[in-house]
Amino acid sequence: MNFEDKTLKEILELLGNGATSSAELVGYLLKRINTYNPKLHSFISINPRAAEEAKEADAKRKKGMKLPLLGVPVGIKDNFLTKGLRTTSASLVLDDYIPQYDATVVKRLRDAGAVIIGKTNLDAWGHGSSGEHTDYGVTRNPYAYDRVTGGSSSGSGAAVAAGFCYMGTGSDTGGSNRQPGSYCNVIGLKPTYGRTSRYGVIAMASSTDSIGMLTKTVWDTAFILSVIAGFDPLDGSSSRQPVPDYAHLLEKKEHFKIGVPKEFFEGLDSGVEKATRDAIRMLQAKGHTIVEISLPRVRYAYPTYALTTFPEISSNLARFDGVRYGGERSLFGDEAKRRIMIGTHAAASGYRGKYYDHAMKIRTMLTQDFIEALTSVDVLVGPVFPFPPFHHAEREIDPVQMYLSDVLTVPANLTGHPAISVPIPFVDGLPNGLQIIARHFDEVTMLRLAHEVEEEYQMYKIRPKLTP
Amino acid sequence: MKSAKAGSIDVSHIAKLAKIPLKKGEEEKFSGQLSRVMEYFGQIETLDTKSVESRGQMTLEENRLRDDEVTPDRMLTQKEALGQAKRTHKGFFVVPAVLNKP
Repeated sequence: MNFEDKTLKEILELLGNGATSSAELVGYLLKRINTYNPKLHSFISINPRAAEEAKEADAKRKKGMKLPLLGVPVGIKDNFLTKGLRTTSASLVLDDYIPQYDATVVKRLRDAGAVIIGKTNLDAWGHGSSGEHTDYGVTRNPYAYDRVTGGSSSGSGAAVAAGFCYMGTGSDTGGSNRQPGSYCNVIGLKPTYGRTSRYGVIAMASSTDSIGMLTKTVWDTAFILSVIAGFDPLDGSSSRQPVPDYAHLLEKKEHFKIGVPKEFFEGLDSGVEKATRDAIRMLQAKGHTIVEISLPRVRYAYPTYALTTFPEISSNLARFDGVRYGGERSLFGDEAKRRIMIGTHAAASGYRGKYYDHAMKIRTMLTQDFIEALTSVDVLVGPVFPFPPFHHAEREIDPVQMYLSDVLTVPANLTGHPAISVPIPFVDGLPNGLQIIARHFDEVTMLRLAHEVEEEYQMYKIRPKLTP
Repeated sequence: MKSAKAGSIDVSHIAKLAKIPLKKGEEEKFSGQLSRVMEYFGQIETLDTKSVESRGQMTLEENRLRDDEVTPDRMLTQKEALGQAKRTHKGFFVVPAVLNKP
C-alpha cells in the first residue's frame, strides 16, 4: 500500500478497520525515511523506540482501547521536549541533551496514542524563516531540492510533505508554521496565543510563541487541534476557553465577510499577488463578501516584532549556561548571537525607552487595529510569503533581507490572533499558501474557510517526487 | 558608548552583557550587520505613542499562577536533575567561579 500519499483521516480509517497495523505503517515509513531523509534533512533524530511503540499501540487496539491517534506516526519539532529522546533545538548547544520530561503537547499526543517517529529539523531555536539556520543539515524543499522549505518548522513541513509522518508539530513565534506550510504545500497552523500550551517547548519569545502543527489537510489539523488544545496549569498564559470539536465543525457552510488589507499586497512578487487575488476571487464566486480594508500600521510590524521579541529571546536564551544541561554559549550560531545581541541592546539602559518600550506600545496599537478590523469582517486574508520559495543561501547574506521574509506573518503573532496557511495553486511551479487570520479564539471560522479553499483546489493531491 | 551614530551598536559591550564569546573578526562582522538592522528598525521612532498604554497580553486573558503545591509527578530525583550536567560534585552542580574575578 502507498502510505506516503495518505492523509491522517485516511490513515485513521485504515488503522481502525484493520487494513493495516501501526507496526506495518511505522516499518514502511522508517524505510522511506532511511531512503530519502539523508538528502532532505527533515529529521534530526529518529526515535529508536518507534517500532516498539507501534507494536504497543497495536496491542492496545487489540484489547479494544479507543484513542484518537492510536498508532499514528507523528513528527515532533526538535524544540519540543521529549522525555528520554534527544532534543537539540537544532543547535550544538543542546547536541547531547536528553529531556527529563515531556512538553504538554507531546504528552497529550502520546496519551492520545500517537507514535513519535522522530524529531524534526528547524532553524535553531526557531530563529529563521528558511530552514537554513540549523546545525544538523539544511532542510531541502521536497518539491524543489535546491530551494528552502520555509521555517522555522522546516523539518515538520518537509516531513509531512514527503510522506514521512501524518503531522509534524510546530511552534510559531513569527510565522514558523505558516511559512513552511506555504512553501511545502501543506497546512501550517498558528492557533490563538494561549489556545495551546507552551510548557516544555523551548521558549523563543514567550509572549508570541504559539504551538501548532503542519499536516496534509485542514481536517487533519482540525482533528489534532482538538487533541492538543486546552487549559494547562503549567503554562501561565494558557486559556480556559472551551475546546470545540474542530473537525466536526468544518462541514458547516457559511458565508463570511472577508477583509483584504491592501498593505498585505505592497511589494509582492507578481506571481504571488496573482495567485492570492485569484484565490480571493474564487471565494467571492462562492458567495463570500470581499471588503478591501486598510491597516496602515502593518508596515511597522516587523521592526515592532523584532524590538519586542528579541529582548525576550535574549532573556530566554540566557538560561543556557552550560551548567545544568547542554554546552557552552560559544556554540550558539550566528543568528542566535545576532538576536541575543539586538535584544540585549534594545532593552539595555539608555535604549530601552526608544526601542523596547516604544515598540510595546506600537504592539498595543497594532493589536487594537486588528481587533477593530475584525469587528467589521470575519477574517483577514493575504499571502504568507511576499515571494515564492527561494534558493538556498539566496537571502542569507544580508540579515535585513532575511527578516523581510516575515513581514506578512509577524502581525498575527504580535496581536495574538489565530492564523493559518492553506495551499493554493503553485507560483512558477512552486508551492504557495493563502494566509487566513481570524478573531481571537475563533479557529472554527478560520478552519472552515481554509477547508473551502482546500475543497476547491485540492493541492494536497499534488505530491512531490523524492530522489534518494 | 564608542559612537553615537544612529543605529550603531557597541558590539563588544553588548556581547559582554549577553555573555556571548566572540571569535576573531566577529566584532567587525556583527557591528556592520547589526547597525544595518538597527537602522531598518529605527523607522518606528517616527510613530507617536505618547497616549498609548503598554500591554503585555493581547488576547485580554490574564496570567495565572498555579497553586503553590508540590506536584509529585513532576518532581525529579537528584540523579535525574543532575543527569544532564557536564560537571557535578557529590550531588551538586559545578559552576564556573564568578567571585574574585576582574
